[in-house]
Amino acid sequence: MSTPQTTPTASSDPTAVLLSVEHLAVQYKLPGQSEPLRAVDGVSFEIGVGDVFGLIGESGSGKSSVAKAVMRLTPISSGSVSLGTTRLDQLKGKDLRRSRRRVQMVFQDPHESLDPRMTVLQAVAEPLKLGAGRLTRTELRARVLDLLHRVGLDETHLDRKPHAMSGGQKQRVNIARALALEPELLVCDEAVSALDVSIQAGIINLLLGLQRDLGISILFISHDLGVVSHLADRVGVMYLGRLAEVAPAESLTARPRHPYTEALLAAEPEARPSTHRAPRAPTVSGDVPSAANPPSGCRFRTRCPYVVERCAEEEPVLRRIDDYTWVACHRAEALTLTGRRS
Amino acid sequence: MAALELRNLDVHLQTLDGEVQAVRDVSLSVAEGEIVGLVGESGSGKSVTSLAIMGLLTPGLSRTTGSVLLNGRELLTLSPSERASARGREISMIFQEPMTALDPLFRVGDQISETIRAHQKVSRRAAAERAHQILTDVGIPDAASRLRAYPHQLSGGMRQRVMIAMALVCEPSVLIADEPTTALDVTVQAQILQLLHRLGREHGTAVLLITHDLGVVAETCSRIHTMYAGEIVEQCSVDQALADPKHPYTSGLIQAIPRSDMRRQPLFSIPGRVPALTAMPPGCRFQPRCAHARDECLLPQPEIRTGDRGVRCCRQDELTLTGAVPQEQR
Repeated sequence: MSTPQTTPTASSDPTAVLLSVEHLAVQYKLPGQSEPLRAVDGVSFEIGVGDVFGLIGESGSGKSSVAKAVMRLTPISSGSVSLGTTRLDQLKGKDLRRSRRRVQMVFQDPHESLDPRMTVLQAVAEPLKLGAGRLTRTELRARVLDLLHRVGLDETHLDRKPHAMSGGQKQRVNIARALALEPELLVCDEAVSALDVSIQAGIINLLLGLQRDLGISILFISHDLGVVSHLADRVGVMYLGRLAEVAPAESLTARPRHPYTEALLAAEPEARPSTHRAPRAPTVSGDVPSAANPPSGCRFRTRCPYVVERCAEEEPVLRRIDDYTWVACHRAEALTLTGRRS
Repeated sequence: MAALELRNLDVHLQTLDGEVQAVRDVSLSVAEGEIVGLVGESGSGKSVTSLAIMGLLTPGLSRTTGSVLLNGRELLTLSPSERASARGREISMIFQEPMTALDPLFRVGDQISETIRAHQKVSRRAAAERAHQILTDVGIPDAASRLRAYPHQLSGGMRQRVMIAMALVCEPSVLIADEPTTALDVTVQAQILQLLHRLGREHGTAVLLITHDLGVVAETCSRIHTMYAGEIVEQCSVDQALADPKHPYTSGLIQAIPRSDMRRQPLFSIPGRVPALTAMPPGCRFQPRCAHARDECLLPQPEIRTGDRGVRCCRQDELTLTGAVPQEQR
């Protein structure tokens, strides 16, 4: 049974909240096992209108399952996902299809998510044909061009097929497709992870511009703390299906409050000369335990350098420790953890 | 004498479009106990370079010229069987994806023992004991039970440690590590990088670390070679490259990385894309994407050496380029 968690709020004003995820659980049945795998086990967070919320975690943390649950691409075992006043988790059939235009997703692999036989024009026109009502061929083409301009492409790309484009261009086409029906929320699951760093920078700039110009909200999921904290207003740190910490990006990196956040910051390589690198916490040992069989009590306790007896006995609840910071650690107040100097 | 030295290495590959040059005039050296970084994006030729060093490119479809010296001995003139004997014994390689590099049908211990017995005349039992020892050395707890495991029973970090163990079991003097941590979680990556450090310190292993990640290089290497479109465009100490890059491409790579003091600001992104091997631009290969390009950049760019530093840019002395340190802290 999962412990109920309180929800890290995006804002004191409930009308300013776009996405609200409460006590979300996603479970997968494993072949030959009676106990399901609890990929997401009681996760709560909110995304404000026009905000970028970053979700970071290593493999098995459940961050992609959160994305799939928000997209309704995987069954939700319990909890709720609301977009504005709509309970996404309760929608069915026609209502669910209609709601899909409000939340759109960009996936990790730009090559896999495009049909190799479709031109850019066809690929971007597809969602418009499905959801933008009747459009003449000229109107359709004009709308596609608008979208391409928005993502930094132009009419020379209209007739290209995926094989004739670079990874960065393909990801731009995927973003144009996702924007076609003017969604309120864009879910990006490792959307820049497969790209070279110089290309990745262009996509990050594009997402920042979309948020600024269109006021679109973004759920940005990545394993890369540097990228997440560059883009996000607030960041949630996931470990084995649970949120360890939720805080504004700046304070999360400067002053982490959960030992796992500190461990991530310590492990993230920093491209700075040795003379400009701040002292770090020591690297934690071991691998992430299997999500099929998480440790009792605090899930991070098997690797945590600050572990005490209580951590094995009692699972820490995500709780508010100041105006902006939520943390699931018994010892949050007692510990002084090392962050990153900016 | 360097443990590994490349002199003017050229690699030509046969493709359906005819012969292309994937690596051009690459020279670098790695001393005993040193970790040297070879950095580049996709298509830079860094992996072809590593395969050429190992002699793993298909002979009929590739042509490697220049010089690859392993402890002073030329590798390129050796017979295939002589090279095979050097591989694993004197020079080893680890790859990005440890799952595909291990045989799923054999126990980890048997795969390590096989490597030992391919190079040394030892009994099965002695090989098994050596396998146990090397797993312990690379930080695998409970080595005895891991030896009996199949690759799928191990986590990604454990598999990469097994790969490293297998590469090191015959105590080669040189290790080529091609993106060894790219598939790993960041907390596990940190452990593997520390392990590479320890190898240099305790065994004197010379490591050539090939990666796309400047952060990994900054934390691990003493020297860095930046590769672009088959050429090394800059080589110097890691601190020099990061604080004061002299080639516009190195500077572009550094500026493309998100930095905590520049949150939510637009990042520098290099326009255009890496040229295809069949359509290399004249002169400087980076010139079509370079903000500092002038007419003289259309001429061939030889490497200009100043002390320990080599830069393939004719404008290196006039340009002040942005590095990873805020201007006022330089």
